[in-house]
Amino acid sequence: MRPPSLLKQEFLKKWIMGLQRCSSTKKNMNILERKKAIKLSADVAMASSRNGTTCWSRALIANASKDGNDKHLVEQILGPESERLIVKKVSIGALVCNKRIRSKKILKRSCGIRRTRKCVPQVALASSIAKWLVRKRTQVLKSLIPGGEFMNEVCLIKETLDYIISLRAQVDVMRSLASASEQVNHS
Amino acid sequence: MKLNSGTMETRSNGTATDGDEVAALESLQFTDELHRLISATTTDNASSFTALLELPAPQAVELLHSPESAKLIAAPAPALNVEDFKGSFHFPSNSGLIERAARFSVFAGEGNNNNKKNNSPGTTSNNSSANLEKAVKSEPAETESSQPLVSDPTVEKRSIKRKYREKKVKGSAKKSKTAATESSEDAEKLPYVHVRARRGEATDSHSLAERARREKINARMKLLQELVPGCDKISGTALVLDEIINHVQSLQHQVEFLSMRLAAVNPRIDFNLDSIFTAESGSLMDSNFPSMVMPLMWPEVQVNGNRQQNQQQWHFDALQQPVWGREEVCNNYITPENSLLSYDSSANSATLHLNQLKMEL
Repeated sequence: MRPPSLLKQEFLKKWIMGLQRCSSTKKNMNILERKKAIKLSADVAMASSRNGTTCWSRALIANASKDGNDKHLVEQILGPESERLIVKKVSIGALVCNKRIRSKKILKRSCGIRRTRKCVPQVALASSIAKWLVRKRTQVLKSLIPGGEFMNEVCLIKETLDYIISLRAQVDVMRSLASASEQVNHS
Repeated sequence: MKLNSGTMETRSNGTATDGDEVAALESLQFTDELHRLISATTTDNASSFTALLELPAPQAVELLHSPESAKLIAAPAPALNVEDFKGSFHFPSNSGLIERAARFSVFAGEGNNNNKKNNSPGTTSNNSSANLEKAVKSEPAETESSQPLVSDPTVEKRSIKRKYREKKVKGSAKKSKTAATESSEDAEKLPYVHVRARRGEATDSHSLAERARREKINARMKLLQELVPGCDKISGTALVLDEIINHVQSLQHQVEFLSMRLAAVNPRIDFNLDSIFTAESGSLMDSNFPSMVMPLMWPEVQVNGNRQQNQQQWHFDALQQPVWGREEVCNNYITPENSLLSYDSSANSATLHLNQLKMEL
């Protein structure tokens, strides 16, 4: 695990780079556009610091590069290896995930004919209620983590760990930059 | 001794895995125990041993007298640990006694062969009995006959008990255990996950894989619990997941909020690092920003302290509260260290670092 300060440094570099490119391309953005640009470059910078090792970073970059406007920004931030990262890993990941999803659906359909009983636990067993609760929570977690719908439980928890760490670093950097620039403005 | 046995009892009743570890290690530790038996000093602790055995005296004697029927008796679950034996090793060294114990174990070993379906467990038990015989025969000269019958039943009880327990455990968790012990030897070669089957659990490959998967998930959940603040007190997967979800959502909201704040600060998103750093290094109210950029100068602990304080404060404050209050408290927190450092000559090298960063950009 890299020391957090290194992670923050790298994130800051890439983020500022992206912001500069953003401001150079487009002048006179209103506040919402600025906010979007800031957030986007922050997210992409954070994801690129993982270098495609984690699933959430790949999914985040993939989602960002879907939109044509943002794709240039993404490519600029990622640098020369952007093509490799976006094209190869993301597509392969998506393929695998789609296959997995399709096979799971087939399996569920074949077994689910018998299991038509419940979406709500009618059985008063504590264990089944607990299982249902946990399942609901994991669904919510999957919706939160980028690219989470494609993961199984084991990967999901690992990705959550990594995602939380990088989110924390991102929040720290952004907060200190915000406070520093506010102080500069006010003084 | 009584107190010791009491605590051991509670501990062994708590988990069933200890019993399995005992059984699995028995074949290896049998020789050790026997050596200890032979070389141990002689004390009289028959009464404590029966207490350890958790058997009333008559039942123990019955076990003693009928080794064959020992297999058939549905005796109470012997919940002893290896630690029991280790702790209370004051058995007399009696050659005749030991030979009798060996005979019993050989008997039990042969009995084991009849019961088994696999060859491998038979080989392990045979090995253990063979080792036992070897150990016994190699040191007959060192044994001294001291204690009379009082110690006889204890040792024999123990050996019978152990064999019986070994058999029972082997019956319930044979294949997986031996597979685990055998495959653990080539653990370095193969990337398999080694799962020890617990007592009374199914041992087919599906449930083993399921158990391995569950253990992986539980290990990762523990890591998550440590990471998310306030999660280690909570027990239960659903509540822990609740906390994790809340944490992730709060972090994502923070990112949104901060990006809005940053957008509001500048008319154009042009963060002039130069001006920021020159303004900051002059004042004592340094923000966290330079501390993060020059990690080598500052002790790591400080950064972690800041981060933790930020986290805690964020947890307790609502989003609507003014951000300034928080930042100022943080700044006050690190002001003493800041003041020390600003007087330092390292401040000059700090600006060098900042210049480097600027160059790269």
